Amino acid sequence: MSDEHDEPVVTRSVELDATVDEVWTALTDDVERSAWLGGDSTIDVRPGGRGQVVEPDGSVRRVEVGDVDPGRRLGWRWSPGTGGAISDVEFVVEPLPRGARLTVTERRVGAYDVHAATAPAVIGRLLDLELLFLARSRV
Amino acid sequence: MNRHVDAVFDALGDATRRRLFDAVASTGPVTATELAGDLPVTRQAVTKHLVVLAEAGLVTATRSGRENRYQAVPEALDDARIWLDEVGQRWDARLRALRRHLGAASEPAP
Repeated sequence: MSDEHDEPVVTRSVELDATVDEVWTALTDDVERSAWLGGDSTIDVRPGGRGQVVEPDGSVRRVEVGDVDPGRRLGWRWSPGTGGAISDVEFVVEPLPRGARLTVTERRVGAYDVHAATAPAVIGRLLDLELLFLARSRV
Repeated sequence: MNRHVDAVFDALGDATRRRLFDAVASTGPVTATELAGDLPVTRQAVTKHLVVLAEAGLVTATRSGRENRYQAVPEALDDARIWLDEVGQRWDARLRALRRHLGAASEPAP
């Protein structure tokens, strides 16, 4: 087993031809973020803030913001759109002599609890059925 | 598939179990006693770790006399690798798009 598969962690680091402020805005502004993250995203970028990312396939990732250190660090936990697992994402922005470095780390937290996610919908459907039966029994 | 992937990552999140898995994979069918001889842990501890590896599907046990013989199941790693690959590819694509976005933003308006 090679080392890169020992942990459920993916890390990417890029040098960008932009200032730290520009990178931070690209992470935190809904319109700017939606231009590159894939799909429309609305996220309340404050610790504990919530949001969502609508993936190109229409599936929705729920987002909960963790740590926010303006201009340096942003963390959030998101659920998968379809399949996959809940994971923590952390962005770290660092100034470079020319430009900025952005490092993103995604750490898998655990399997998505499909049962918990679908339970309200299932219960809703059961209630609908019950109402339907009630309606029929009155006829 | 998801819980299976978590079990694999959990099982291999421990350095001793990782060494054990590598040892089983490189030696072929092997008993806990034989493994304990090569590692600074007791046979009981080795057996405990092997049970965790077996529950994650990373090794299988076959009864051989009074002991189990353990064999690695390398395919058990496939789903974990797929998760890593998919997440990595998504970030590659997003960061390429971010680079394009910032490049376009910094160019003077025509």
